[in-house]
Amino acid sequence: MADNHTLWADVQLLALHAPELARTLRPGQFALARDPTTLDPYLRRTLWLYHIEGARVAFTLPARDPLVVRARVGDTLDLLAPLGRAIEFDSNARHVLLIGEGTRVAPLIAIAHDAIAQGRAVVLVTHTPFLPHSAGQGAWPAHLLSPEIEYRTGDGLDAELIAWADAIVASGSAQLYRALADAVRAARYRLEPGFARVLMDLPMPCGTGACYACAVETSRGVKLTCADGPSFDLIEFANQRTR
Amino acid sequence: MSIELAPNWKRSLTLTNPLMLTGGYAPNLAKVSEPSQGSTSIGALVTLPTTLRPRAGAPLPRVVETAGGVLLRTGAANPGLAHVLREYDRAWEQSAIPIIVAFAAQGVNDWATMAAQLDSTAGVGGIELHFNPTMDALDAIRAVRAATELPILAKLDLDNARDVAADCLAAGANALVIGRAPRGMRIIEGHPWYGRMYGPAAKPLALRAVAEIRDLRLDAPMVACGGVHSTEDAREFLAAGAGAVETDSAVWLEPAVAARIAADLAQG
Ligand code: FES
Repeated sequence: MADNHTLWADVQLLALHAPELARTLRPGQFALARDPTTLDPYLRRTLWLYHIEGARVAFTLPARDPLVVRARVGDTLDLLAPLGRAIEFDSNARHVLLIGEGTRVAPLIAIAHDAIAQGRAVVLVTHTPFLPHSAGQGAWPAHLLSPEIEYRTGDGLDAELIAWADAIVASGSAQLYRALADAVRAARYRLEPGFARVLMDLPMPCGTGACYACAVETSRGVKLTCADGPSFDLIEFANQRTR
Repeated sequence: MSIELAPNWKRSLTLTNPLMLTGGYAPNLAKVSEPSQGSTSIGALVTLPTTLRPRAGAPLPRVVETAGGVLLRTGAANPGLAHVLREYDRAWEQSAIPIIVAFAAQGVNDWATMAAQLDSTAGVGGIELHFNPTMDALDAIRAVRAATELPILAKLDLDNARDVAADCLAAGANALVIGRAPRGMRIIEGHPWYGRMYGPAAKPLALRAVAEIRDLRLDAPMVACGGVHSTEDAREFLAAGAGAVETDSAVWLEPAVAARIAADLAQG
């Protein structure tokens, strides 16, 4: 471990020296981590990709997590990675809209940088209307973002923004995802397959399809967040009972 | 090494290693059941508990950590037998180890339908039954027995295994699995949250139940399950009277652990 500090609110940044992973991990994928010296905490923790620079891979996870509290720079973590499917944009998608809520903006940042590197225009919005007014649940701080990301706070479901976008990725609550499906239909008349993806953030005990604790009901059957996700086409949830 | 889980029955269920892995459906589940050393393999794969039709599972959250492990309440989330057979029948057919299909609690007629479908599915070596309190376990075993000659393993709850073990065998089960993960509870945001307990804390409870069943001197093989995370854990269960041992949540933490325990056990 090369770094372990609180980025903002309840978001911890954990940077690892992991040359192999730095080559293979793609935005949208994740890692499951544990301290190999103990069974406490018992389960692996989900690490969301934040940034890759050389051989250094930075992830985010909740700041109060016991893994964060214990781990020290220089420690070795046991990772299962890369897991899940990467976010791939259609080659024609020139305008990318990323919508996150509070701390759930974190997994969108690596996706934003990747899209910019591919020559796409990116707008990132912290969607605030559904957030509780408790401490640490405000908008993602602008100073943590690189200047090439066009950043806004407020209404991520604005009709003009949705009309501008060629692709959307959202990271937040079930309420946000329901509202996003409605907003896309209102702004574009139809919710097309492949237009919007949503990130599911559930506990994933195994990451290998062994436990089914991460199963979600979609319009295309029961799927696993760890193997089929962690991002899903919004259209798979738009007509579903969302929990 | 050879362990027979259906002695004196029309179809045998022979393990070449006492370590069985539970979870998922893929016999080569990434790094999980592949031997990490030599040519040793685990003895069998016991699938995720499955129902005839797909089940989305319990509401979130489904996992709550506690000291010594985790409470899990999946609500038997699974893709349904038809999907499983479509996805995995080739892999099962080619599997070097027997596949034991676990049945999640549901209607007895659905169990009989599943058993009949699996009877001729290549690679399937047995069925493991998971009951719930609303089912008549003995009727359920008889219904499955009538539908298939596949060996039946009855996976019993630790708290009543001693009371029902002999009757389950008389109804047609070939072997007993002791047992299901123990039921537990936590208070989450002021409300009770129920689940089954996985992790090291489950081991002493399962170990005691295994020893109690051994003392009944039933004429049937016994598989142990509960909190196995290491070779030492598996050896304790074998010493307590089990003929084979299932490991479950340990592979969530360390996918290679099953192959490593199997290799250690193969060396005696
Ligand atoms: S985390 Fe176990 S199946 Fe997805």
